[in-house]
Amino acid sequence: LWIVITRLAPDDPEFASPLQAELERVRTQRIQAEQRRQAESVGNMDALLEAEEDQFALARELHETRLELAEAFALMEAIRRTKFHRVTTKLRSLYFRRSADKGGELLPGSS
Amino acid sequence: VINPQSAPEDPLSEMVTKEEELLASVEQQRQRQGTAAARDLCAYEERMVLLSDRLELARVELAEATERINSIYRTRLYRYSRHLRAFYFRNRTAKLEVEAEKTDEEVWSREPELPYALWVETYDTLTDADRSNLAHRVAQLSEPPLISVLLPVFNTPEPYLTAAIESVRGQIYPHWELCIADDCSSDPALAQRLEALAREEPRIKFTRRETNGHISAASNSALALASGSWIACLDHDDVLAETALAHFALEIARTPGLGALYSDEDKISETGERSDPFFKPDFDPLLLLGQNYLCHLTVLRRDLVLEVGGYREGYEGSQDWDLALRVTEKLAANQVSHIARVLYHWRIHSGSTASALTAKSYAAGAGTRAVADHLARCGAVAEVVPLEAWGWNRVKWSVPDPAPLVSIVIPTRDGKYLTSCIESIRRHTTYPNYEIVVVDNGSTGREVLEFLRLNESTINVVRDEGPFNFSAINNNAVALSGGDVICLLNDDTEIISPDWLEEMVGQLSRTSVGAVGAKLYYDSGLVQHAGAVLGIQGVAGHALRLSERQSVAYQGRTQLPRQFGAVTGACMVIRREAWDEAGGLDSVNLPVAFNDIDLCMKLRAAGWQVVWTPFAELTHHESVSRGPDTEGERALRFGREILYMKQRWGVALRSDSTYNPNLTLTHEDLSLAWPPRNLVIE
Repeated sequence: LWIVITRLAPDDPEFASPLQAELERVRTQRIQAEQRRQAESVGNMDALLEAEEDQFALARELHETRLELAEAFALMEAIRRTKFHRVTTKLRSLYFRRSADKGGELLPGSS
Repeated sequence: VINPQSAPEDPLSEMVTKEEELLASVEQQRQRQGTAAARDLCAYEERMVLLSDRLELARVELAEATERINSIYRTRLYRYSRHLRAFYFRNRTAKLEVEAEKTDEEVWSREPELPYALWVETYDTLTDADRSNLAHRVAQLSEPPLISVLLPVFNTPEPYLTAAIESVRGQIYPHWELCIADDCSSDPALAQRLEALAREEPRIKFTRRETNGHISAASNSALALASGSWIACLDHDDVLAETALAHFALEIARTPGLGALYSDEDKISETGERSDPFFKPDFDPLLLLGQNYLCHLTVLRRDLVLEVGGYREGYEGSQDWDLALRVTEKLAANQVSHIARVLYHWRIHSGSTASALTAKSYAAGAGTRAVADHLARCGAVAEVVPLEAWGWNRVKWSVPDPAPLVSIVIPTRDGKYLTSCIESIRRHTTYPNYEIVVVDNGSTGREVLEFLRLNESTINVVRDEGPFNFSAINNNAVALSGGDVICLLNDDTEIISPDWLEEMVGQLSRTSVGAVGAKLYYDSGLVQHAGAVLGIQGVAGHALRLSERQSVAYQGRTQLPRQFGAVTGACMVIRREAWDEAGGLDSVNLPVAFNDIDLCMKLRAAGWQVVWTPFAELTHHESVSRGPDTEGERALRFGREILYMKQRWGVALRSDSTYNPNLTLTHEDLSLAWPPRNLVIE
């Protein structure tokens, strides 16, 4: 096809030139668009991958925070179950009634 | 008649028109990919906000709990009593620790904070808005398909049966019917309950068998009640996700010509906790020979099921596998659709196959027979060997007779392991027809040169003095070799399985297969390559790298042959026809890295399958010969190759159909994706 074009074009330069110019223009546009598409494709992929990494990090942080929270509750529960805590329940309730120090009341089920 | 005036115009105009069309197509593609990425990022952002809110809440709660604990420590009583406590409770610390441990367990069993639970909470928990959106989409279907859910029951514990039935009644999709067949349960109250249920809800049909016929007969009884164009089989103790039938109906409407569909699944405990998700690949007939990975939930066109005669008696325990094989062999691969969402929860209890295969030991034997029958019906020359430990199968494909010549192409430059590589081939390989082609890319070491000189009568040595370009070296060697089958092999590998070539060429004997990869181990014995997943860390990564040799991680992903997005060129067997069609390795853009991935992607784009098998085993002393690509010029070159792959393949790298959008692209361990890449419902 290209051979036909190049052979025919010189026969009618006035007609062929504008078309050839048009062809070149569209082709250049197409190549540029393809380059743009490729660049954007890479950009999109990188953005998505980065967002996934960020979200994974956030999820992990949430998971770890909840683990810490569970540990904290476990510790409170363990303190509540100690013999010391149990045998001093009465003592503490008497003490706290007279004191502004409310720390002991913060334990669930301590009263 | 050609008009001379218009003659010059036509070809040029045509070209201009063609270019304009191409331009429009590129612009459309660009807009589409931009829109898709923006949509995904928006969905990601929503979940980021959700996670951030929950994190904030957790932090506040943690701060409060910490403050409570500190306030206990700060109390005067606590401080003053320190010595008293130390005196009376000398072993207080030990006691505290023991009690804390106990409490810890209790806390965990009450509120499991396992990652899958968090994943479900974040990505698989419906809001009212989600429900109404899905219901709205379903309502817009012009011809919503009627889906008949088959429910064979037999002595089902009441709570499980109720949960199963309620999961159907609670579907967002309204066009279903539930076909229950009681297989003559010993408790008559069960049948009475079900009869009452059928009277109350017109979409429930019920029959009671006069005799106990086991699962196939009972399923057929349920099938006989069905009038829907599609059937789905629900086990009597399992549960459907609320959205299950809606997703299936939408997919059926979106993709005309489908014959079968299946979804992902997970397990559900007796107390309703979800675990152990199984995120599956898109339809892979090869994997289906090894295990019934479709299993739950499978939706089949009813006319096809009736055409093949329904469930077969004698295959109990694997009757669903047998039916899936008989239906899918009548379909093209693109007529089987995979919905990558957990739409089925498989109950774990003492009598279910979800808890252990031994619970239904008859299932495995039936599965092997079902696969053997399938191969016989398809005229395949292959032998089925049960992998009894797991209830799966190995299919040994026969090598064509006569065995095709395999050209084993080994590029080297002073390869430290070249001698042991070639000796291991000679010592172990039982395949009868192969040639070894060593491409010497400028070796200078006396040992290697001497070895090649001494073995020149049995090894074809090709000298290639050009700069190191793995692609070009292989391309040149393949061009000089004579085999109908090519085996690319790194010089730092050693054969383990004697029948490695039989296995790989056997896999290649199926005409749809273009290339086959092997299972490679590090020196430590851990897995180096068990198939490559596209998109991991941007381009591709090795699935389950560093797993144990016998690991059955991820439903035996490293133990069964299956299709992959790509396999490593460190040991790849490829048919010459496919090699030629793909144009070999890309020596211009990918001289060193990713040329094998690119080749596999070209093969798949041309319609060839890329298969990986665990039954061809080799040791791979990876990158010993060249070293890593992390510094200097090598790092630059590596960066260029990554960029090229991204530019060339774009989103194809993020949508490997042999993987799953719910699995990560940031690690090689097949862990969960945070977030999954299918948040947006198509």
